[in-house]
Amino acid sequence: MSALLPAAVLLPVITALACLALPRRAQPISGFLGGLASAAVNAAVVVAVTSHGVLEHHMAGWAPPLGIALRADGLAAAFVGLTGAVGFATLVFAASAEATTGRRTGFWPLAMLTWSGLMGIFLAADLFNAYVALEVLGLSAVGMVALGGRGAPRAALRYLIVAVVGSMLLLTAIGLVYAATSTLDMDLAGQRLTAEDGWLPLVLAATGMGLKTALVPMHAWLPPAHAGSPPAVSPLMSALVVKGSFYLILRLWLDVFPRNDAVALVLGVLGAVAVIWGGVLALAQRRLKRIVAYSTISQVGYLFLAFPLLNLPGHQPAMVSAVVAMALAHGLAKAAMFTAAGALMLGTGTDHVDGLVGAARSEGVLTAGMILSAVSLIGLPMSLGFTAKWQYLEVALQTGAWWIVLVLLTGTLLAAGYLLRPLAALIRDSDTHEEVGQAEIGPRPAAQRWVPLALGAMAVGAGLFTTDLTALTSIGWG
Amino acid sequence: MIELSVASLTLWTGALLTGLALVRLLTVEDLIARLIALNLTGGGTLLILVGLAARTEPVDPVPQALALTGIVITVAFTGVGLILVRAVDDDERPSRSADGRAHGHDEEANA
Repeated sequence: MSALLPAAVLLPVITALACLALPRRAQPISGFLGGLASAAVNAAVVVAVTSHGVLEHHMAGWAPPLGIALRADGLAAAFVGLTGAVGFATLVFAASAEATTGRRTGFWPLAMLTWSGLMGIFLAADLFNAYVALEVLGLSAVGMVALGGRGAPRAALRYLIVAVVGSMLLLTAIGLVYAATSTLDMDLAGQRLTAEDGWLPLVLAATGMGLKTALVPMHAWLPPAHAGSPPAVSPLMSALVVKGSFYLILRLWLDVFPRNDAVALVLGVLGAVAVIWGGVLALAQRRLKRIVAYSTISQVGYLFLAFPLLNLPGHQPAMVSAVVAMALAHGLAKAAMFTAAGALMLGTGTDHVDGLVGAARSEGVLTAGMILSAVSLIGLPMSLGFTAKWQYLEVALQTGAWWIVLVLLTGTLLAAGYLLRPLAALIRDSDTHEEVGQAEIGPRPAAQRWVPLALGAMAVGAGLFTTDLTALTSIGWG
Repeated sequence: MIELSVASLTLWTGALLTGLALVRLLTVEDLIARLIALNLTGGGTLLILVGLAARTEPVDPVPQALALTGIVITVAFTGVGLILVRAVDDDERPSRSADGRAHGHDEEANA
């Protein structure tokens, strides 16, 4: 059973190598099959953790502290499941047309390496493995950004610098934790680390991961990297890559570092600023992929907004469940949004909102996917985005954290504002105010229509399974 | 006077180097200079690890192993960075010549 864990990390690597060895025309087939198998392993991990509890695997039979351990608890399993769903859906989208993967070759091996890096982070039981996996994730994500059109190399270089500085801060933090505890095992380090030794590595790790997750004010690299990427890369970047570094700081926060209210408050306040400022910037954008990219900055803010609430005794299980729900909702909805935006861009040649007027007439399925995704991103009732915000609200109200309530409400209004404009453009018949005609859309392959719809339906439909998600995330701790 | 051991000297040199490199990284425009600053940030971080390792007697091999892996990663990201610097150069050269019409809107979006 526990052999599933190394399979989850290694299968994507093997797929990546197989893709590298093949010519570009054969890569989609092998990448798709490898992605299918990896997604099946990911699903199996979720099922196994749900039914049997925590999984732990010692590589080559060596137990920690000497050997390398992989571990999947409920928190890890939730993110493994997200990667399987979004990763596979994006690969289906990418297989639909070569244009989705950019002008240069390399999408398939890089996407599978990204997948593997994510698995390494989610399943790592020791600090150093987590760091190495984070580097694998960062470097392959940089490669994927570089596949884009004009301006992509500069965005990729900027992202490389951000990614490397972030992981160097983490590496220093890991060195300090080791110096204080003489172990790299996360649980052991967590038991031994005192508040006195823990604050400096916590500040370093939080800064590094905040940088990589594009927490305001360290967010400026994100829009060019996410919006300038090829259609099949943007969803992976926004839905998954950003979650890798967020998961790591959440994991360290829960398992390794002693409680620190000051850092929690700073992260929470920055998150609050991100929700508002990201939303305002998204409102100011005129291009669909930019709107979606700035929306990521806003949504990342919600994730960090959880830290002050995570610290409150008695509320931690509820908040972990809430932040996981928020991360999954964002992942599914944002992947839907970016695949839809990519398909529209390939069909019309533009992603300017005014160029998409009336697109819903010929692209009804695709538009439906975008609407479902927006329902969850805004947080309308029944959707996963709603239940996540609701869980935040409950804890915030119980503990009198009124500023968080205010941020949640303002963020919801802003999201409605910046998402309704592109949707309105798609749905209305022709533009009556400006001199723009109806969008001409080249016919889209079925996969480009149905993938956004499937992802959007998941983002909304998963809201019905909140109790199962809460049960899953509570496995293994608390 | 504070007694300065080799370990703490290495540690503080590493911290200073990392700090200086980060400042340079944020302030310099030239891409190659930025990449060198990034490389130095990595080098400084590894010095910190080596300094931490040297604080015990005998020297702790685990942080040294971390530094060794760190060196490999530093080489990898510097290589990727160099390729990207070349790609930036190829990407932006045509736009400075006569033709600026076709792709103008992509550039403006970055502003």
